[in-house]
Amino acid sequence: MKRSHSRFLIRLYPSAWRTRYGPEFQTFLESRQVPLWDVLNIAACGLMERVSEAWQAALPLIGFAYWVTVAVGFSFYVAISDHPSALLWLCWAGMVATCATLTAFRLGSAGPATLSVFALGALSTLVSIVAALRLGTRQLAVAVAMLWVSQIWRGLTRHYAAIIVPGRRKLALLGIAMLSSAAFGLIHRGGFAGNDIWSLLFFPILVITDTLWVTRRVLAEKR
Amino acid sequence: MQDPDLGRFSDPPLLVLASLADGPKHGHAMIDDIEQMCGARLGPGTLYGAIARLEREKLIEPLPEEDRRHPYRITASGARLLRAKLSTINHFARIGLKRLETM
Repeated sequence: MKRSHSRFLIRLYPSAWRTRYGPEFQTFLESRQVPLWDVLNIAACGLMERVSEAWQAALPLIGFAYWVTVAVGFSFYVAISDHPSALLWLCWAGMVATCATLTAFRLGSAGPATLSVFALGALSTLVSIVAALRLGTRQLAVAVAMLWVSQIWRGLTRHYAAIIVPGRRKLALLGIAMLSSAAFGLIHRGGFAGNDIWSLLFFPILVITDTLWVTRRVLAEKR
Repeated sequence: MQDPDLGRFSDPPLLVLASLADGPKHGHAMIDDIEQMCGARLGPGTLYGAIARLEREKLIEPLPEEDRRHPYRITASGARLLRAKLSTINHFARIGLKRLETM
């Protein structure tokens, strides 16, 4: 196969793959006749590698969008008994749509879908904060905002890897942020109310389950 | 230790592992060997996809480069996995053939 053709085919693969296997794959292709069927095989496999890479890169965003969805759903669940409204049901519908999008994403799409999930997560967070403020559950608005920041942080620090490797300072800060959001609610209302108790219970549970899940995953990777 | 899950790509990696079971080979030699061994001809993309997955799972490892080509050899965990998979296939084939005899 001609060098220009082999170079073109190798460019179909992601850059990390090319760095590792590019030179040897090019030598391999140039040392033999490559029929049309093999060209199609290389093109398909190159695209599969790209999808696989995009999927790996999207995992933190999926986690982020998932927790934002949970937070949005929960914030309106907490508010529903006191403030039923059309907006509430609209947001429930939005939550279901987000879950459906995430499921569709899980089933194999990539690339633009990554941005869609991120945009949807950001949008639902914003709606959640505005709606929670309008419904008078200010501590939930703060908590959701905290959750949003924490999930971006989580994505950036590779799933709480800091918990196991260099120290626990980041987790401690996250816990303080979560609990302070609930404390803010208590101070704001001047005592315990239904929403505050749920907030106090919800966020430690969320952090613990998330941490256990991530710990399990990091330990599995280490093995 | 739990065996790595090679998922729906299990056939080409298994063929690559079987090809490397009798000594290190580079990509070109693997394709020819696999074709001789079982009549299946792997496409270049499929072969290098399998090599990348097996290397990631530490089931094979590259040897020093020769003329811009890396020969690969099977690791101990690769050999263990190959033995386990082939035993299962062997067991399945024996039972299947025995059942066919009774037809």
